[in-house]
Amino acid sequence: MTEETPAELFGGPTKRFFVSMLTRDIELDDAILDLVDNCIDGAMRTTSAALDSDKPYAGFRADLTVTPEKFEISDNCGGIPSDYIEEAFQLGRPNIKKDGDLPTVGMYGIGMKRAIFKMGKTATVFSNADDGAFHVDYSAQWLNPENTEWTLPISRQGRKNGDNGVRILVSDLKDEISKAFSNKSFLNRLMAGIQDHFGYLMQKGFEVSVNGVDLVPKTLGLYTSAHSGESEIRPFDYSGLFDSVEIRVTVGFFRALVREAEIDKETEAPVDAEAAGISVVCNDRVILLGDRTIKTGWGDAGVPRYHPQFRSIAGLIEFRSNDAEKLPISTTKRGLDAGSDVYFAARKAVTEGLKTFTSFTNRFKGIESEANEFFAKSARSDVKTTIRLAQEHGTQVRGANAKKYVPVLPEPTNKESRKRISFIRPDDEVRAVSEYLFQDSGQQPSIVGAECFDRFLKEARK
Amino acid sequence: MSASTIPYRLRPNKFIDREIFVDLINHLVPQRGASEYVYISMGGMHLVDHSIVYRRTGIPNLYSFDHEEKTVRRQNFNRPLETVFCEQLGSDQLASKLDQIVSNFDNAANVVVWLDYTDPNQRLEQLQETAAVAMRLQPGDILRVTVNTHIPTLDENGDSGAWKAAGAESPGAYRCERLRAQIGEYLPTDLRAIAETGFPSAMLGSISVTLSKASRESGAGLNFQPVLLTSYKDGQRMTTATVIVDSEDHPFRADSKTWRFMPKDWMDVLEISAPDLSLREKYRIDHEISKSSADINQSLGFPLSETENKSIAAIESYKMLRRYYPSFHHTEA
Ligand SMILES: Nc1ncnc2c1ncn2[C@@H]1O[C@H](COP(=O)(O)OP(=O)(O)O)[C@@H](O)[C@H]1O
Ligand SMILES: [Mg+2]
Repeated sequence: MTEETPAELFGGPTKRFFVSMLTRDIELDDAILDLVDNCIDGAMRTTSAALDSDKPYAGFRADLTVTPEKFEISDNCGGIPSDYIEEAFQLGRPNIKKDGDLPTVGMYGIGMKRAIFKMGKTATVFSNADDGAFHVDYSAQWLNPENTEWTLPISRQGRKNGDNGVRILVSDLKDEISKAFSNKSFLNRLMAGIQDHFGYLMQKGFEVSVNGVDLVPKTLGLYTSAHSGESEIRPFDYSGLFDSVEIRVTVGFFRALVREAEIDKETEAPVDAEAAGISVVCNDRVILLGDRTIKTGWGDAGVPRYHPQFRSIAGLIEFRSNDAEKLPISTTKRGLDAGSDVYFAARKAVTEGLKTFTSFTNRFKGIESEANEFFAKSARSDVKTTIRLAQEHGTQVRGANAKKYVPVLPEPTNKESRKRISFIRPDDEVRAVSEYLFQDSGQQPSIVGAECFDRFLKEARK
Repeated sequence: MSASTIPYRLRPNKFIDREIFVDLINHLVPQRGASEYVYISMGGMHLVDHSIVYRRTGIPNLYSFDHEEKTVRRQNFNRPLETVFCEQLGSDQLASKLDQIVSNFDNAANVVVWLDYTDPNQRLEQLQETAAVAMRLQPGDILRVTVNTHIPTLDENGDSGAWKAAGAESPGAYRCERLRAQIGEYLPTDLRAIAETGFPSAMLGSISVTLSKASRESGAGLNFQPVLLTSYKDGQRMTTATVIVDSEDHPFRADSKTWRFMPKDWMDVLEISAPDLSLREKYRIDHEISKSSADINQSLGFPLSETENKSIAAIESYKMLRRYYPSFHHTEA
């Protein structure tokens, strides 16, 4: 027997893992959204206004410069105070609870670094905070995956005049990043992504610009009218408290019903451009956008699966808590943890809401334009800031600390029960019949089919 | 997509638009030689465009597609020469057939593609098809896309207050929201409103976003440079972008010194609004063409349009486009 020699293995990470592997797991636009997240976390720590007031973020802003030459994001959100510096530059947070009662979303201590690694050959982080200024340089050498050096040089100085804030400058971009930044459609998507994901924070006063363009918040508006005994178009609304998480669920119509002829076309279109579906917002941040899957209740618990005929339906699930860990956010950030109890509580409400509006849609099938008069009596208003139907007129939900408002929607005046007929025929045959009926071979197939039926109905009733 | 069936003589502005395009082809194709090119578009029943492109540019390889079988049969009857291929094909299939189409022709390497869309209800599909075609193009190719920019298609009821019910800030913001709902990520995010006259530039902006998406997704470093941006209104307002394709390694340029309609950028639209002139008026203006438009207006002694300014603008437009002006005569064949 040979003598056993005690030895050790290195079980730590490699530079390569962080600077070149980890960065592949995230899309470039998401990496940039992470940086905007940090600005907002900063604003939450800095603002003196109550976060549930109207405009707690007024005056706070992030300005991005995204060009083929450089990337820069600079904010006035307080900067990184001395106590935070050490942790800020570590890969992974040693202490998850550092923000105490504040509803920040930073949790894993990776966003800022990952974004820098993804974009840059070199980069510098500047900060100016109440207790001093500093900058940290990521050199090309440090960022080399072969390099095993982990320490970073920091230059500290006293607080500078001007705003407290952080500026991240990536002055030397990787080639593929520079190419993306020269692309109009990339920038277009990035701007739209910021408006979508931070819409509710921007609604509360936070401002973002990209290359000098001030972005505008994108938030959900639904058709509603003041509560009354009349049946009118109003959203389903739910408001409750679950394990110290506030939940609000609102589902309704954001546009008038889609006519059958439009649907025919749109089933073929691979991308649905509109805002249909359910979005999930945690502490004002959008973590799921326009979802139309079973995740948000489509095709489950009596709700039909999503279909283009339902593209007038949209909804918002909102969670709010000062304890970020209680929110249904999954570890892959910006993602929803659809398996948590607090989410199930909300999902139950969503399915109820969806059912209300899918059955309304079905009742008006084929007579969509009859519903227009009802839409004309309502107007679209912002869900998050103005719709309060559950709080003000809701009924208590049994067994839960919650109220809900189930709207009484209008019925079709013509109440005869209706059936759907659908069938498939070869293109040239449809065209031939269309030509015969309309002297135009290009009519919508559904219109051709309906005309055939109507003519024979007349015959049959003679 | 379906080709409009109204003949050119009833659409003088479309006629001029096409004349300028033919001129542009002539300006561009000598770099590689006309016989290298295949001209691809929906020819309509009579293959008018194909005949003109053949006669005027010398591009011998012509391809026409239509989704209607009977139209294709009629096209085959009207073929201006043996080497025109007419096939039954939807515009949504064009992208995947492009390489095969080119290989139908000996020696052809490049294409001139004209996607002549008219339907205002399919803008998303049209831009998606455009992107799909664009990312399969090669340096030296020419792409032309026409889209419907008739403002009532975004706002049927004018100022009826639909924009108020929708919670929009203004009619312009409402139109913009409608268009965004139709084409989503293809619309420039920083566009917030579409003014009464702003639809052409909004759609050109969207085409430019579409092409940069194609450029990114082509993986081949393609550049799309606009070389002709026009808008006109015969019935519905139509807007057309013509771009050339190149890459760093394979440059293909239009010379802005000799190509006078070169746009400065994607916003620089040439408005084609030909005044409807009698032959006699035309001769008179031609005779005085070296005078200023104001002087010509004075010398005519009657207004060509509602106001003096509009009349002078009409003469100005005529002077710039005179070379392309239609003069339709009745002939017996
Ligand atoms: N713009 C900023 N303003 C204030 N502090 C910031 C900013 N960006 C980063 N920080 C600090 O750096 C830390 C690390 O950021 P990051 O790597 O994104 O991880 P996380 O946000 O998960 O903590 C943050 O927790 C914060 O203390
Ligand atoms: Mg972060």
